[in-house]
Amino acid sequence: MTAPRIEPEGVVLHFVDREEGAEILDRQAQKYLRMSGPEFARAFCAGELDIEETNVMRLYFLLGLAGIECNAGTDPD
Amino acid sequence: MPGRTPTEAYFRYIEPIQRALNFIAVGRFSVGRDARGLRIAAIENATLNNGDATSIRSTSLGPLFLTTGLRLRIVRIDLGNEPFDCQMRGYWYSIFAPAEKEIISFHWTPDVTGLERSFPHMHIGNVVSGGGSVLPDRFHKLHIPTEVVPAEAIVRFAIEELGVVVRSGLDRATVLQALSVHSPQPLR
Repeated sequence: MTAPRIEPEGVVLHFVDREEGAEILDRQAQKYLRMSGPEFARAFCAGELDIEETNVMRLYFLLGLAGIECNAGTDPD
Repeated sequence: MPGRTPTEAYFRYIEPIQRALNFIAVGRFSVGRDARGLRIAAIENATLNNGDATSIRSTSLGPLFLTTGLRLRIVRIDLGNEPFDCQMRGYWYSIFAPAEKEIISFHWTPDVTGLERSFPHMHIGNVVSGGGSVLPDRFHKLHIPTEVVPAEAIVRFAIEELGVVVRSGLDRATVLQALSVHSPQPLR
């Protein structure tokens, strides 16, 4: 891809280690589901949450930043 | 996106996505990086603004919001001096109207077990489908099959179809040209 000229403030890459990832997950879980990051991880990994729900989907894509890998899910239908 | 090392393959994959998002949005594209280094087959996540809805603007629809989440995996391939590749293992893209009213979303979560619909699919949001005469109360829940959709194609869709404006200082035609490699190709 040939990149056009880019303004300095746009979308910038930010590398996240596992510690910061856990902080992000915790903050966002509190914000969107009123639970802690570990509580979200436990509930998701136990298959208790519906991944088709927007906020669950949102947080699922943060699990890896915290180094958490589990694949449990439920089908809402 | 092959590379000589796992890190090179990873960067070659995520940097074009960051550049594409940069055409229309502002913020952080956070990508996971294990301090022990990238491991073969391990999943890394990448997310725009930590999953928060990111402001974009359409000339026809007004303020819109974009979310982007990716799951990526490094694999070893048999390709000469570039033996590593970075592959997509899931995504979540959504475009919302204000108040997080979903217009359209693209889901693919192949690693989540127990799903009947692990194939890539899209949802037409209730704010679009709810006013129609076909299943108005649940059309937005239908899983409409798609191919795997790269993030760059979502940016192109936003610009070309939804009228999302490119950031100040960028030329729309040049941006679309840069994104054209990610457009669907005709069958031969």
